[in-house]
Amino acid sequence: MGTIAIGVGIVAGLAALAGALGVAIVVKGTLEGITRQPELKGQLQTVMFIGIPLVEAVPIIAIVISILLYGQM
Amino acid sequence: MEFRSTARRISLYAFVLIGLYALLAVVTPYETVFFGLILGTAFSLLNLLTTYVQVKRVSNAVLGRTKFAFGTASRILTAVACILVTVNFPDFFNLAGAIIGLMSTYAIIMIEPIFHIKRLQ
Repeated sequence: MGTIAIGVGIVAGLAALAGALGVAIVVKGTLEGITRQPELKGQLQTVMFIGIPLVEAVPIIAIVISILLYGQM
Repeated sequence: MEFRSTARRISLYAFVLIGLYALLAVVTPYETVFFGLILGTAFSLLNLLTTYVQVKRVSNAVLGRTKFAFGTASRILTAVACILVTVNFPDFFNLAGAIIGLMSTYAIIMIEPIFHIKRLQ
């Protein structure tokens, strides 16, 4: 019971941290690119649109695992 | 515009996938698995839509048109909602199917560039 609760907290917290950092890096790069070369906006938007889900896939799975662990408490 | 057409193409593939799952749910005896897949893919499609809106808003923010967006939190909450629905109705939806369905648009995004290798060269 106690160890599962600690596990849920660690998994959810690390998932949030990883997702936030990853998306921040992707968005930072895109915004810098658009600021430097506004004519490449469409291509950079496509890269960001493909990059964000690829970064977020693993944190979402981690959140799902934490919910399933919480259900076993 | 390439960005918009990419989003349309990926969402079209997801809709085709939902239709295929619906057909298989009718034909095969594994109804709960395919209903779970349909639910997960629908929520995944919602995630894709929120990503599209967010990318548009963030890139417009550079041009000075700042707007409020939920971002990653909304997508994680969508996944949470999908799993909660699946856990509360185990007679209708299979949990493994819903989790695989949640990852379906990500799989489409990873697989989709293979069809454009010739164009990229």
